[in-house]
Parts: sequence; C-alpha cells; structure tokens
Amino acid sequence: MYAFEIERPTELSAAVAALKDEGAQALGGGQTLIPSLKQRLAMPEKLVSLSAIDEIKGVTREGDALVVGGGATHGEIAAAAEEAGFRGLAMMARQIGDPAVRNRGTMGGSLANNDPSACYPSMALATGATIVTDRREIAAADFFQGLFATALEEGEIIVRIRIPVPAASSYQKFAQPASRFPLVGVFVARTGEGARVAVTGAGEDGVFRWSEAEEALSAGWSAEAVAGLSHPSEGLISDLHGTPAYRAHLIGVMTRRGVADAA
Amino acid sequence: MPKDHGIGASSKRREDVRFLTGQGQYTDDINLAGQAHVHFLRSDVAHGRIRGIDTAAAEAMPGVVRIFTGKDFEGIGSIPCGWQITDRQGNPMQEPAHPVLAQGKVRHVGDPICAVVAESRAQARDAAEAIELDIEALPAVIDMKAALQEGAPKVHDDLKDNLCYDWGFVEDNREAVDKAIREAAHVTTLELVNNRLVANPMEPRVAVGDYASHSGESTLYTTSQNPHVIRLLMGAFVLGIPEHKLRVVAPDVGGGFGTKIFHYAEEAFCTFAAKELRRPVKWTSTRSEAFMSDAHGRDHVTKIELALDAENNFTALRTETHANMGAYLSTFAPSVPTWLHGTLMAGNYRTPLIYVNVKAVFTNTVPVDAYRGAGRPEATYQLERVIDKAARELGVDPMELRRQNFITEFPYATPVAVEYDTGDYNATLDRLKELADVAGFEARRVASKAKGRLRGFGMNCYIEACGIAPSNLVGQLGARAGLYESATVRVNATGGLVVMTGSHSHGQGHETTFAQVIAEMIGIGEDQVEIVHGDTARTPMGMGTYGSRSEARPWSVRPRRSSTRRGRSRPT
Repeated sequence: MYAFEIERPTELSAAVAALKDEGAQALGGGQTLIPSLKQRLAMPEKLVSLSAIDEIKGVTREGDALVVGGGATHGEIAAAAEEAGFRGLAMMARQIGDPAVRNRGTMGGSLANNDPSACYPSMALATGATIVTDRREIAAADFFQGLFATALEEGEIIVRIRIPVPAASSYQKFAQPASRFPLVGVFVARTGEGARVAVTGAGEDGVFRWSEAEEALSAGWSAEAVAGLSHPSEGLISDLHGTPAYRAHLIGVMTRRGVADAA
Repeated sequence: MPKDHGIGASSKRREDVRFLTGQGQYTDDINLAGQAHVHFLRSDVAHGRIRGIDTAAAEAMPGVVRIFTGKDFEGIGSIPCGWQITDRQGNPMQEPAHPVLAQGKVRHVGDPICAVVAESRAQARDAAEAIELDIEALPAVIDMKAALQEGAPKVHDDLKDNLCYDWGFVEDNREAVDKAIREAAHVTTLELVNNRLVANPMEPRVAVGDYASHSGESTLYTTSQNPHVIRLLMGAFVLGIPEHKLRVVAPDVGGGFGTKIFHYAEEAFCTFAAKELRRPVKWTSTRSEAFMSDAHGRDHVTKIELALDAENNFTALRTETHANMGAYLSTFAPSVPTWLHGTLMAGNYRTPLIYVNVKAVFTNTVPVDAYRGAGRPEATYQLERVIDKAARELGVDPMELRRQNFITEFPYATPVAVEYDTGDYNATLDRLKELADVAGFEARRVASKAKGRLRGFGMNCYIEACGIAPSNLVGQLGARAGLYESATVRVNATGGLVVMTGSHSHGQGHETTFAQVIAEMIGIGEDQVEIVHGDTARTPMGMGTYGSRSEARPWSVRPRRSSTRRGRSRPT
C-alpha cells in the first residue's frame, strides 16, 4: 500500500465536495479497492470513505420497487430481498463471497466498479433498475459501458438503486470455485415489459442481455421455450477458467435452470 | 470404556488454547529492538541476463539502510541440495549453483535480484521500486520435453543441458520388463499429468536474523518444519557458521505441507545481513510473493504401461516420468520423484517385474520439492489410474481386477526394493464393499439418473512408506545427512518432566500426543509433562518433521528413553 489521506464524511454533500480534490477516490465496502491498494495497483492520494453516510444506507420498499441504498451491504440486501419476496436478488446477494465480504461489500460499490464478473450488473440490467446518484438518475441500460466502465462522472456517488421487483426472478451462478465470482451468472426476470435475461461473467464487454432467449420467454415462460437455444461464443471471455464455447454452453444451462427455478 | 488419560485417550489439544485465543507465538510476532526490514526485488521475467543494476536513486530514498545485490554474495556459499541422485550410468546428477541473490542471470519469475533493507517495510518496498534494472529477457523453457530438445535454451549455462538426471529403477529389471511387455497378452498404456501446485500454508514464510556482537552468535527465527536442518544447511554450506555459533528457532508455525522443510535464500539473507549491519533484519512474505518463492509441489508428466497375461494377472509395469525440478534444486527435490516415488510403484499388487524411469528436468519455473506425500501420491495415482483403464479395456470389474492381483502372502519383497511385512488387502476390500454398499450402487445410480443426475463410483488402493529412515539406509540412497531423531528427558528438581524433542509441531498436536505417551510410560499425569520443540538451543540434535516421520522416528526413541529413565538418546 502507498501512503494516502483518508476522510470519513457523514453527509453526502461533504463526500461530493471531498471527491473534487485531485487524486481523491471514493471507498465503499472496499472489497475490490483495498486488495488493489495492498498490491500497489492503485495509488489514490486521498480516500473518501462513504461508510459513515446514513442517507445512502438501508433498503426500503416503495410501491412495486425495492430501493437499495448505495451503501447497503450484501448481507442487508439478502435479508431485505428475502422479506420482499424478491427471489432473484436474495439468491444473488447471499451467494456473494463469504460472510466477511457480505458484511462489508456494497451494491453501490459493485455497480460503480462494474467488474465483468460482478453479480449485481446482471440484476440491474434484467430488472430495468434506475441508478440514482448525487446529481441525476441513470437507467441501467445506459449505465454499464464496458469492462470497469460506467456512465458515472468523476466523483459521482451512487445514492440508491431503485429496482422494480419482477413478478418472478432467479439468479443462477456457476461459481469459479476459488474466487466465488461467477464464471457465468444469469439473471432471469419476468417483468412488466416482458422476459429479461442478463448475463454476467461471460461477455468481453461486460454484462449483456440475451435477446433471443428473452423473445422466446416472452412468448411463453418455460424452460422448454429456451431448450433449443444456444448462445453464440463470439464476444465471450476466454481465460484460464474457460473457453468462449464453454461459457456459451453455460449460458444456455444457467438460463434454463433460472427459468425452471422462477416458474 | 474409553480412556481418559495417556495413550489413546481423546483429550483436548493443549496447544489449541493459545492458538484459539490469539496467543500463539509465530515468527512474525517476533520483533527485536532496532530491527530493520527487507524487501526482495524479484525477477518478473522467467529467464534473463542481468546487464546492470542501478541502486543510486533507491539508496537515497527515505529510511534505506542498505541495498544488497548478487555481488555481495559472490564469496558466499550456494544454497545446497540435501540429496544426491545417481543416474542410470552411475554418474551423479547435474547440480547447479543456487546463489542467495541472483548472479548474472535470473532463472524464474520471483528469483530474488536485490534485497532492500530499510527502517520499515513500506520504505523498503518504495525504494525497491526506484531501483533501475537492466535485464535482457532470454527465451525461457517451461515445458519439460521442450527443455530436453537439442538447442533448447539452457537454464544453467555451465551445465551440459537441462537434464538433472536420468534415473532407472531397478535398472537391472529393464530388459526383462521390456520383454514382458512385448510378450504380454494385453498392455494398457496411459499418459497423465500430475499438475504442479502451490502449498500455500495459512502462515506465509517469515525470517528474522539477529547477530550478537559480544558472543559472535547468530540467531535465525524462521517458519520451518525443521530448525535443525536449517542450522545444518545454512551454517555448514551457505554462511560458514559453526554449529555452536548458530541458533535456529522455529516457534509456532502456521502450516507447512512440506514447503517449510526447505532452506530458502531469504533465511540465509536475513542471517547474513544481520551480521553485516549489526542489527536484526526481518522479512515477512506477502501472499503473492509466496506463490513465486515457496517451493511448489508435484509437476510430473508420466507414461505408464501395465502388462497382463491372458488371465488378467499383472506381469509387468513400466513407467517413464518427466519430473520438473524448476530452476534450482530445492533441498530434497531430487529424492521426491525417485526414492519416494519409485519404491511405491508396486502398490498393493503382485507385479513381478517393474521398471521406473525418471528424467528430472530444469526449467525456468519456481523450484519444485516435497509436498504432502511427496512422490508417493504421484506413484499411487499413476498405478491406480492405469488399473482402472485396464479394467475398462478388458471389460472386468476394477475392484475384482485389483483383488485378483493383490499380494496375499507376507512378508512380500516387491521388485522395487521394499519388503512388506504384513497386510490383508482382501479383508480391507471386503469391508470397503460393505461400508460403501457397493452391491446397492447400481440401484442408486438408476435412481439418480431418473432425477437427471449422474452418479459415479471410484475407488483406489493405497500403500505408503512413512518415516523415511534409518540414517544408514537413506545415506546409501543419496541423503547427505542422517535422518535420525533425538529426545532429551529432563526431570526437574521441582517435579515434572521436560521433554526436548527434535521433531517439530506445526499443526500436528505433538505437545498433546507426546505428553500422553510420556505420561503413560512414566506413570505420571500429563500435566506433569512439558514438550519443548523448535529451538536448536534447547534441543541440541534433531531433524524435524516431514514425511510422516514424527511418529515413526521420535516415538521409537522416546518411550524407550522414558522407560529406562536414562540420559540422551543415541541417533538411530
């Protein structure tokens, strides 16, 4: 770790102001940033911790939507989603990392980082969530812009995520056994706008929707509807853990499992 | 009635109280007055020629005490290998020099080039980033077979080639084995990879070197399974410190798995630098560094052939293994694919002819050495896999093919130099079939299939040689030190016993189990027995813990000592 300053504001406005400084970096739950600092892969001059700001915490139900604070932890989210009957999100949050990670890591931090293997982007994209920041609202469809890239501006903070709770949903993760990150994760949702299938862990440009499967499922929600579909391997990640063809196969398998689970 | 005392009693481990309450004393818990910290600048290329090292800017950085390079170690010994293998022609293995810090070339990612000593770890690391390295990257050899090709890049320029040794066992069996395979009714051939792995104990390696100017004594605190072996290797071969002027302490150790047996460059460096600088020097490995500097395990590529007669009796077995040594010879590396591996190739079976060929190869990779079972699991894996394959090819039950070839008469001398004194493999297999309900497996498989699940069944037999000894035998096989063990029992004037043992505990629970044995032999309470280990100043002789030897070797010493209540044990 290189030396850095740290601030821990209690007001959102103070955090926004602190992030205007040269070399300042927001710190959420730290589950990605702290290991990066330890490996000297990042050298911010100042960290602005968001952990003491009450207005970005908590999870509430507002009509048909679940509103998750940017600073809500995976553990809190899992419990709240369970209570709200939001199966896909409950499954997702309770499978992230281990208890230590789930007590620190936040949805805001995960979305802002947009790791191509993070779980939440698939949920946000599939449900048509809205990312509310300190200055504006961004639709999930516009938010994710490739590997580790988002629509967020410098110093912009995710305050809350408004998620329309789908009529039915499931998240199927094929975990890489060492990291517990998805080798392929598929979030399926029956929404007011039709069926949605979003895939994480597989795309070279990060999270994406599988439109062919969505069309088939919108015509009839059943595992059989997607039984004959196979995702092309073009544009999928190739690494030590799996070839594009392997991931393409997993997308089909995970989608069918998700649909069966959410039936 | 279960016993509540002594041998066989189920008692709570006494050492766990300190471990579970955070009171364990690990090497990283040791901080000495005036201590400086070292950070090693390591190679990020697998193979390269060092053209220049400019430390001027780094030396001017805050807190830097001194920066060492390979030049500082030119007159210093090479890190030794503790086992010499003789090849098929009767020649000794090729043995390269292994400098503490790289000299002239770097040979694997992680090879230490510079050692930056500073007032703090962070300062040492900052300064290391300011060192200007001029390294010409050279073509690297990673694949063993490629490394043996004519014209392959040489890991060590001063060696003939990348072949450490070509070992045959038993060489006199070679022709008979070849003939039996040619004439067999059936031959099953299997090629397999026993992949390289990282031991990765929970506690990374740590070394603290100290030097007492008033007495001329050096002390090394280190994360070792065998402080006495480190005293011998580092004192006698690397730094030239007489045994009575060198103390090695291995306090609580958080897991070893083999990789903490070996003598490492960082230990020699901290001991050397403490004397040079007249102040303690400490190194604590990071997790990432451990992957590049702890000796790895396995990395064998094997072709195995099993010959059978028309009645499916095993008639001969032939193996050809390429064993990766990495870039240097780690402490016991040459013994792993040879004596710890070839001698197990008979397994539980009556195979009259066996020939094992092993080619040990240098590559531009992290050195490989003993890891969990070391050579023996590799042998069993090959043998059991080829038997399964033979059963499939012949359409017979793999369990019954094994049973048919089991050794049933004991003592039995295998064709690979080991005598089995006793055993009843049929009884074990019968019990296994009963416990695993093998008869009911087909019904379970069908039931699983109905639910869309696949159910498989696998089994294997295993026989292992533990407690590598005695000294006389291992000496004949190439060990460069005796593998004896010792214990001293001291009766305190105020009552109670102190048992000082040369074996080391790093998770095994010796402090509890050894006390149980001593207490029972002497006839006193376990709480009257204190076990001391891990300090060469308190236990003068010993060889440490590895190869499942702590029960076989020291146990055989300790009860005898205790029952006679006499002085120090003799090495056996």
